[in-house]
Amino acid sequence: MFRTQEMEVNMGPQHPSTHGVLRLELRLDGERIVDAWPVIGYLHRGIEKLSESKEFIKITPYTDRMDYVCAMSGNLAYVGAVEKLCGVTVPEKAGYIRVIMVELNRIASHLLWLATHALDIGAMSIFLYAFREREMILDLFEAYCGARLTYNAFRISGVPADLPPGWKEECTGFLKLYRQRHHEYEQILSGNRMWLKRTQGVGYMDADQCLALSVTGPVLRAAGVARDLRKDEPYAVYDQLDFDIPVDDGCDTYARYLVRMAEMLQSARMVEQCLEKMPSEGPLMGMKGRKMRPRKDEEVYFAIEGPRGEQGVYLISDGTDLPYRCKFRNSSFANLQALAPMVRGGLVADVVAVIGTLDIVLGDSDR
Amino acid sequence: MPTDDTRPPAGTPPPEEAPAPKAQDPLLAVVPCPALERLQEGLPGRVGEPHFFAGEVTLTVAMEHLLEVCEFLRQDPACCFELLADLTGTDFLGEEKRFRVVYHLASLKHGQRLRLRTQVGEGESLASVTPIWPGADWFEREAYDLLGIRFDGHPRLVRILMPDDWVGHPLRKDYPLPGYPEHHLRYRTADVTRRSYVDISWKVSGERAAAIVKKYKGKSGAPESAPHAPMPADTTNGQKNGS
Repeated sequence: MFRTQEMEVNMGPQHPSTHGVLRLELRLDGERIVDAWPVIGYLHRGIEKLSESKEFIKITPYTDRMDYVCAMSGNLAYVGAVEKLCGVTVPEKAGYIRVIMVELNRIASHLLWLATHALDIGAMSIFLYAFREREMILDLFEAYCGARLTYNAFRISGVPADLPPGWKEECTGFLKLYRQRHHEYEQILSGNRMWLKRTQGVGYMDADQCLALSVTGPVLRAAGVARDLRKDEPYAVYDQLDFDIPVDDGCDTYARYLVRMAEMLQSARMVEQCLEKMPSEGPLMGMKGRKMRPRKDEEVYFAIEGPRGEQGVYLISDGTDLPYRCKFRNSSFANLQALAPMVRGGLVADVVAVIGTLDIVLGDSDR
Repeated sequence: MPTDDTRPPAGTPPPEEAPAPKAQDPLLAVVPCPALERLQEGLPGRVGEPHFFAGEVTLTVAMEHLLEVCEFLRQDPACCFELLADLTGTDFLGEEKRFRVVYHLASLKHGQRLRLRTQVGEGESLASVTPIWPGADWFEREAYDLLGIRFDGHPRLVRILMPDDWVGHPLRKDYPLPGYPEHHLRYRTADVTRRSYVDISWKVSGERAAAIVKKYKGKSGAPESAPHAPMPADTTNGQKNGS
């Protein structure tokens, strides 16, 4: 008689597939996973505690450091929350610039996801291609705000600067090129037998489970729920743009791949529309001065659709220009809860695929 | 005491802004909330008066009724809040019930949001909502970790962001921003790894150290007379650590 014994294996925090410092305590029965216990907090920097001692205007750079792969979304969620709290309106032109930046950053973020996810599973070449295009987006960001990763690109009530001369043409050129390159990625992966074998049926999670576990974003949309805050609760200028929400009901890693790929094209479409519709003249800031005067003892929750899901900021004011409480509801934190149910019963090798498909950023989950 | 108008009474009030009556303030406008009416119908007297701010609805509920109200909001077809978007706490130091815990609920079916707010004192514990929304698991662990709020019925209430053996709850208002210095000392490498690292720099000194440095310099192809001095034994360390 063979007797198997459950074994505990520690994966991470330095494992290359964990995209940062995620540690997983796996309980294995042979190659099968009995249970997984994610351990996070290695990147906890106490941003929420720090925020309580900073003026509203000084917190924006901290939001870059949470989700450093998509810092524009972090900026937008935070400044949006403060604007909501103070009742500040944003000029239309600033709204367009914000959407351009956020959507380009979504493409960059999804490209990074595609590159590393495919690399983890074993497709090397796509990694190099995707980084090539991501680099072009970072160049565009550098031309706009001077930074490549931590942008601090938005201000409360607007944006600090107009697009530099020639930027629009550069961006249009990039988008045209990007569409061709996107087609190349799909040719490399979508019908690839190895890719299908590694992703189809892996990390299954249906819509009910996703909602129960507060999982949002592409993971939820790949379970057949058309939940997208850009459509459901439009912010910035999304209500003036024409775009679709890609949905798939495969519920597995391959479905999430399809959803994210389609999202990148939609983002490109949105950026093109914004460049076209953006007014050439107009104010960029809706408010003069830097002092915030929120009402006393009020609270707001403002959420945007980040590349990983609902990215919310909860603020409590005490009437001063320091927040009394600043809580960041980051999608990586909530989505990471889905990891254990997704890998349970699967193979050890699929853990890598599941971590990739959840598209987590540990700086985002640990704050 | 200013009642509603929270603009600073002293200083320079902006001249064009006359204190507007409450009803005309767009931030305080009452927004329709079907779930609220349904809740007041189905569970009368369980929730307090709704508060409207910036298009959001906040309901206050006593901690005894929390689970009942949550269950209703989740199950009732007219409410149907499937998603617990966020759960967090705040320390209101000095109030009778110290912590305020908020639940941000979202209904995808009806496209509405609701904030539930409850208060809990320091020694008390709140009912966990993990039976209703399993996703509350990590949010409650976070609230426990950073604020020390206890949740009854949570499957495994342990720290999540801070190290397991951390002392104190950092997001409490009486926790100093730089932390407690005496706790910093506990995180020396040797304590964490439970290994004693021997720093060789104080064991070898003088000529021998110079010889070792010279030996390795030679190996890496650096010239014998390196422009920077070879790393000598750290004398302060050596004296401190004795023989």
